[in-house]
Amino acid sequence: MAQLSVQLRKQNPARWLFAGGLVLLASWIALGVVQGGWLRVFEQISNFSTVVLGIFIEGAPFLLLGSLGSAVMEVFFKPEEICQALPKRSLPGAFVGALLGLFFPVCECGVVPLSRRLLQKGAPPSVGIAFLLGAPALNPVVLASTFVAFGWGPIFWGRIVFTLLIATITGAVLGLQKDPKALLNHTSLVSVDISLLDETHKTEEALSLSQKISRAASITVEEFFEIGRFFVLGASLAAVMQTFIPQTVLFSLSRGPVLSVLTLIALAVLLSVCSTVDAFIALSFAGSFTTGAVLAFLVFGPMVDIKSTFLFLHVFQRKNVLFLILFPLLLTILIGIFLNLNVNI
Amino acid sequence: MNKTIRRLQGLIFLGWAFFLVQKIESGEILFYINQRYILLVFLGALAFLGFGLATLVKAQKNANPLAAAHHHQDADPAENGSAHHHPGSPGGVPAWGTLVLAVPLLLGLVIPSRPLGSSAMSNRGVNAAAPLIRKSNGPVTSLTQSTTDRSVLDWVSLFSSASDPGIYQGQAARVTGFVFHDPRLPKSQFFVSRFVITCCVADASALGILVDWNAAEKLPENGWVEVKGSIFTATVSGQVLPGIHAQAVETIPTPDQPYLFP
Repeated sequence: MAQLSVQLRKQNPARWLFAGGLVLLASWIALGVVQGGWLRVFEQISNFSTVVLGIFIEGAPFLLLGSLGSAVMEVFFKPEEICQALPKRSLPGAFVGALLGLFFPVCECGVVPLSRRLLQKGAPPSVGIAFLLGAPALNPVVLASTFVAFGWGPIFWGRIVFTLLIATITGAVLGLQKDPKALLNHTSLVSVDISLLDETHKTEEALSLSQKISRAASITVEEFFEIGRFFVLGASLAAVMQTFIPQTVLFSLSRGPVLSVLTLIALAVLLSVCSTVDAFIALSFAGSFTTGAVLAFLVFGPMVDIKSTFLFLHVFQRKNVLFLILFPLLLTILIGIFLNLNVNI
Repeated sequence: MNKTIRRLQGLIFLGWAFFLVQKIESGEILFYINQRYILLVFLGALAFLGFGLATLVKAQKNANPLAAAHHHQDADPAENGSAHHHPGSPGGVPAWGTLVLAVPLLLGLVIPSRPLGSSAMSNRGVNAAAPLIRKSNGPVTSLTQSTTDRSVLDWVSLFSSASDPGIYQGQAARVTGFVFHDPRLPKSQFFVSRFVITCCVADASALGILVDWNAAEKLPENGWVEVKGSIFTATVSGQVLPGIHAQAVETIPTPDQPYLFP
């Protein structure tokens, strides 16, 4: 199931982003030396390093836990076992689907192949789609990291409520299509992938418990490196914004009720930070950006980003992908702006 | 190639484990995160150690044909499974992607660790409104303690929650913090400042108390001081914040815990 994601990850534009970031940083340092001298530059680099390490150290345990969760799911869990128990009607199905992540901790990379498997095994479409959108944020690891970052505040509860709301509505609407297979594209339905998957499955069943554990450990490490680089990238960008860019410059971008929401949504999509640790990135924006914008970052980020869009296109039909992205986007923007204009948090 | 990347991953994990344990042991971990999460980070370090060792041992086993033959029965099917699972490089993570995880580690090893100081303030400015986080248990505890035990955070939150901060006028104060010469201030004044950390340095917000002190100019920027004096209500650029008429300003070494935790 992860083979598919592996292929797609290779096309990832993140390396260009990373290279671009390095170039920007280098030019900034050069400019700083010319303007303020070495001491000032050294101080700023030191501050930058402190912030990057702070975010990474705080996030690393959650990143490990999230990777472990994905690995355990992949080795030990068979989705077909729960398919029969799921509600068939669209709205209740979507609601249950959105909350399914509480029992199956996966982040956004793991969720696409898993929801495809659910749909292939006959889970109702509303359940599969709501799971796809809700699970990356509504799962124990992500809730714990959000709590550590923000405490029992409006951000913590807002993330839960609005993710649940958007995942349920989107799932219910797409769930009006009765045939789950109508959502998937052809390659997903009749391709070597499925036979491959089944074969992998057989091998998995043949494994003894200790072999399964050893396998889960390998997958955990691989998963950590896979998602960890986006985390390092995100932490670096957050640290650059904090140390090198004066907050007065960001002011119009970060305080405007509409612009701030759009900015952080764009950033969430570009950064593709794994949902298990995005709360720590959001934390660095919380001081300067509007609350609606920070919530939008935390709600929309786990649903859609560059990585997951590639995976969506591989698994679902194009028109469904468009709806899957645009509908939650619209809802998130509306909620963010509404909060900024009407609620004083 | 495959084995090299596996080994690299194992080594990076071990590197993180040792780095984190060393930071906890030296107390420098407090430059990065709130003290209440130290246990969490320690558990993370143990996990890094465990997974790192397991990865290295596994890579070693597979590299050695004799050992692999020996352990044929338990090692082989599992490895088949994962080869099936991830054709080519492990996890599809290219070498550069693996090395990215070593970047913060290298930063931490190459650049000497230092808490955020006054150079980070010029980007943010002094925050007069105490962080909202303080609300729950703020003023109540601060009111019961001796006024000379109140920290920069206590004074700032008292001032921001009081309808008339004038009631604190003349109270004796003794606070520690680093010196920040705000360009808006006259030569006889400076801010004695602290960063407040809720979770980790990413959410650091700078608080300051204005200090009236004739020799303010001579105090080095970012140096740590203990200020004794009496409280007054100061106004800077229209913001009301606590001020101290200093009777004594002493330089002190950087405290073990440079940040304040609400």
